[in-house]
Amino acid sequence: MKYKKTFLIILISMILFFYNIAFCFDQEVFLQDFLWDKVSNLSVSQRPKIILVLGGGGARGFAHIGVLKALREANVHIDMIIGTSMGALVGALYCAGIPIEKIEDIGEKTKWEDISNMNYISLFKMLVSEKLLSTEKLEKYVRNNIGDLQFFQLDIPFACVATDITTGEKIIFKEGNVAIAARASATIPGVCAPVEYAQRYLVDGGLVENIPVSVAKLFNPDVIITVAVSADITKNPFNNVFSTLFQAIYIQGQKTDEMNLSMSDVVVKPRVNDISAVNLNRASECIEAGFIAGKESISKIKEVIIKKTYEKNLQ
Amino acid sequence: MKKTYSKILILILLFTPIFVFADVFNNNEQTLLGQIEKAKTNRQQVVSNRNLLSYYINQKNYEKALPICQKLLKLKLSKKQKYNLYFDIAVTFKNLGNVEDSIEYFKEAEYLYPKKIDPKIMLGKIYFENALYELAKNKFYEALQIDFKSVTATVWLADVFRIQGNFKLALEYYEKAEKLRDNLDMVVYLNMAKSAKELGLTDKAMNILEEIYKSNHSKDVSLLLAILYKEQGRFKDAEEKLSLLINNTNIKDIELYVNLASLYIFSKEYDKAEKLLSDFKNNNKSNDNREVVDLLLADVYYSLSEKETARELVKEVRQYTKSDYIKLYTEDFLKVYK
Repeated sequence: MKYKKTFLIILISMILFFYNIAFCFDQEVFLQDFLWDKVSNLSVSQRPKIILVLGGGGARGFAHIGVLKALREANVHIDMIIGTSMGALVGALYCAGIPIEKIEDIGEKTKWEDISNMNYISLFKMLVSEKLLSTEKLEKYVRNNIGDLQFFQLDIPFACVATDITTGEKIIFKEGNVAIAARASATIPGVCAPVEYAQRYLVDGGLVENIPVSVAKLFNPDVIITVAVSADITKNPFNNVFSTLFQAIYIQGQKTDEMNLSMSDVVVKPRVNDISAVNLNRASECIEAGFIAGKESISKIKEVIIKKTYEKNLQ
Repeated sequence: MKKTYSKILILILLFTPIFVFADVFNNNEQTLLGQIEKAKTNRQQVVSNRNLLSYYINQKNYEKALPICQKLLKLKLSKKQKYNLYFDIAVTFKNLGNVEDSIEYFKEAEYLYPKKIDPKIMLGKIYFENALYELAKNKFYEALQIDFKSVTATVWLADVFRIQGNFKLALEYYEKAEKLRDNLDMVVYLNMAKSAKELGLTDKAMNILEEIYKSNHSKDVSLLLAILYKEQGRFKDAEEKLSLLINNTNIKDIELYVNLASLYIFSKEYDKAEKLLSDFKNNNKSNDNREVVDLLLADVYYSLSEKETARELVKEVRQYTKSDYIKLYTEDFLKVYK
């Protein structure tokens, strides 16, 4: 009986293995790949202009790294990146030409003390004397990786969004120092001191546009791919100062987010809803979730790009 | 004399297994049913019913196996006998398409002997087959906790990760399986290569496939290798793999032909592409996947400046295809081929 059991296991294994890899030829998949190969070999002027929008989401934004990896592997050519908050930080590094593996490494090793002066003393001071935290370290962290690059020196065009806290205006950074711009875009209001720049006091762009698709529209793209790592506000825990503050910001920005997502050609939504915006320890999980979501979206992305290529070349 | 005795002894040793197996094979259904009728004690009933159950399972006669299972459940069984019975019942239900009951009985077997790996692996496989990947993953993890050297559990876990799109972990577990045992099934190496490819580790994927290719020139291996060569711009190497397979097999495999044709198209060898596709079309009257052949041909005609022929072919495809996807795509083709 033991041998028969073993035989059955082997037999079922063989059947399941066969099922596992059975090559059922899918002509639609083949055609898409064939057309994609053609599109990938076209010149820049023949290809559609693709803008990648990276939304804000705190630590969840590490997922952008995974999405970028998936896009690179599928040979999706990105013409520009627009980012808010963490999207701006990741976008800045990528557009500066930092290899994605290095960005991944940076993400996995980043701790709060690397990018802020957050510690018990400074938090106490913040509560007692209202002295906000500084994000100078964040700017330094970015500079350590990309140097003093100006926007025009980047490998890939880039823009990011900040908020002027005194006027409520949306500030789009498209020139100047990249490290300062990314820092301003990611400065948490109410916790971190605003970044003083060009006579403005700038904080996180998530206050005005967490998913900057309308900003992307200003640059006349043919295709907008959006990576959304916003919280699901119904699942967001709010058991401390930071997470409650984030929850308030997300509720405010929800309608704008929905409108922006509807304007995107493809929306990639990494499954990071259960990860808090302040939890930097889960960077690897976020990156992996981003990669998986990116992979899952590749077919749709290719479909959209192929269609837009035909439309562009038939005009 | 000694030599004669030795020869007789050798003959007996050689043929005894045949006599034993012959005896097993001669235990036909009637004999086994007869044994059940003669059984008086509980032990005799258990043994005779078990023999009949094994017979039916070996014959894949699961409809007949099921009532025997139910009969055995009413008898007094030892713990080990119960375990074996639950296992057989689970397998029987599985083959009868009753997944729920199959799961229940594998769970019963698992409950009796929680340290045995087989029920966990079987449960994992059933969950996998029914796309319950998280449950499958948990079962394979449990199996590995019992025996971290289980190649079966390791490979299945890798398959779960691969299906879920977690190619990093899939590759990690395939490599663990490889370290546990050399000469894994070819399919495992193929899945390993596919996972590496998905991670952008093209060199690694190619190395794995080239290694398998030394002893296995099957379609799956050749095709994946050719695709990787093509992505690397090694068109000639890709062509060689596909041509070899096409020339050496009598089967008109459309996947091979269209992949080779697309290679010719990208290498701008349009005449070769046209000949290949036309030959395939003329020698293969099947209607399956006709569209892809015709659309590639249209692309070839367009590249050969035969725009009108290309256009007519695309129109033909749009008339006969049932695929909305292809209808959508070919709309633009017509505009391009004007």
